[in-house]
Amino acid sequence: MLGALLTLVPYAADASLACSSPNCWQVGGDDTVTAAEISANVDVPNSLGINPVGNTTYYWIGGYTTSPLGTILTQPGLEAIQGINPWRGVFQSAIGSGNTQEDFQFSNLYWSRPASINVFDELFPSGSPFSGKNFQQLSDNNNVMNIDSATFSKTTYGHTMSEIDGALESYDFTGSDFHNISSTPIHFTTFDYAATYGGSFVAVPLTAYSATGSGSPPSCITSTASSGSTTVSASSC
Amino acid sequence: MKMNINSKQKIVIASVLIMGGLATFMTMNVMSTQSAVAQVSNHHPIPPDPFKITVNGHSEPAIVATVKRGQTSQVDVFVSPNISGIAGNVDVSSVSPICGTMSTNVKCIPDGITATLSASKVITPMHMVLTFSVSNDMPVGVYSFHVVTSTSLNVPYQTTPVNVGDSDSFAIQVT
Repeated sequence: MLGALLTLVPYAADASLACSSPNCWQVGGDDTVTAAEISANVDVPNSLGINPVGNTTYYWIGGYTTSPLGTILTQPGLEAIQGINPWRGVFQSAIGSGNTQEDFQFSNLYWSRPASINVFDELFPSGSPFSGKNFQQLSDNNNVMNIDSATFSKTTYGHTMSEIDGALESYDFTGSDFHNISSTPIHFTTFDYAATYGGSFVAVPLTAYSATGSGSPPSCITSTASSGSTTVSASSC
Repeated sequence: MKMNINSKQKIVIASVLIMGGLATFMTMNVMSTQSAVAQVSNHHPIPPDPFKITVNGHSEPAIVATVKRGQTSQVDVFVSPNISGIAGNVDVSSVSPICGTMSTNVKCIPDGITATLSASKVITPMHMVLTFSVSNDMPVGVYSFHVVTSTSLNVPYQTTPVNVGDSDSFAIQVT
């Protein structure tokens, strides 16, 4: 009984603010390098099925920047939507503390395995005509038609990201949603960043992490990370 | 003596009851904690989908028009609020940056296509005209654009509104 109360934390606990909401967790890879642009290729895993819990499962890359509202997380990625099988491309941002959404855009793009997509996230320097905005893009690496983007400006976004993540995030602590992805991990590869706007891309030196608002992520969800890549896996969920 | 034995028995009985009650109390609290960890939240972190958009009848990515260089083409756009009473902005733009504007670390398209919508606000379901003008020197190819809507929505899971929108990505073919 006491043993069941122990929480095993195989990864470094992370101060990621986006999961300070009491109901969510994240598992993935992160790093605190400063970046103006980030880009990763993602292999789309199996869908979660047509009834994922409460439209609450999302995998994304993104970065934390500073706005007048506080630390804000920019997150382009794929969302599991109730009632449909494929993942839907969405773009969003949220204030880190309290997970308050600011900007959100639904795309008309849907992906199923075995698609490969590029995820891109960018901020602009002071003096740029786009200064204060956030540009996000999702593009299919094998189908030029499947591409969409968002330019956010509800708040004034900063100029660089202080932390970069690639993660699976959900509000389902039971792990029940993730059985279908047990054989198809989420691979974030060629995970690069440019320290300055328009600068050269180099690999993000990612380390595995987990973050939670309360409780612990499902023990069946784990991640590994290395320079330029991170993988989130489900095992026996 | 008899009273002492009875007292001892009472003490033992009382102790057992206390221990049993304590064990029960601990069990109940452990189970509550486990239930709290395992409980699936009803919190919905994505907002409602506010608009439906079709471009030349398409809601999925598709080539909606073929336009010769130096010419103009028009297609229909239909935007409909999914939520009664909401209003929003609507616009059209290239999905990728125009070369020379944003960073070249993302694919860009040459400047040479002008896209305009006949409306900028959506209140009720409405049709509008999307016009493309292609310059004489625009390279031939397929170029992705999107019609984007946005509105400010109050949502039940936070106290401040969210700027929510939809985008319908499509393409035109320049010949």
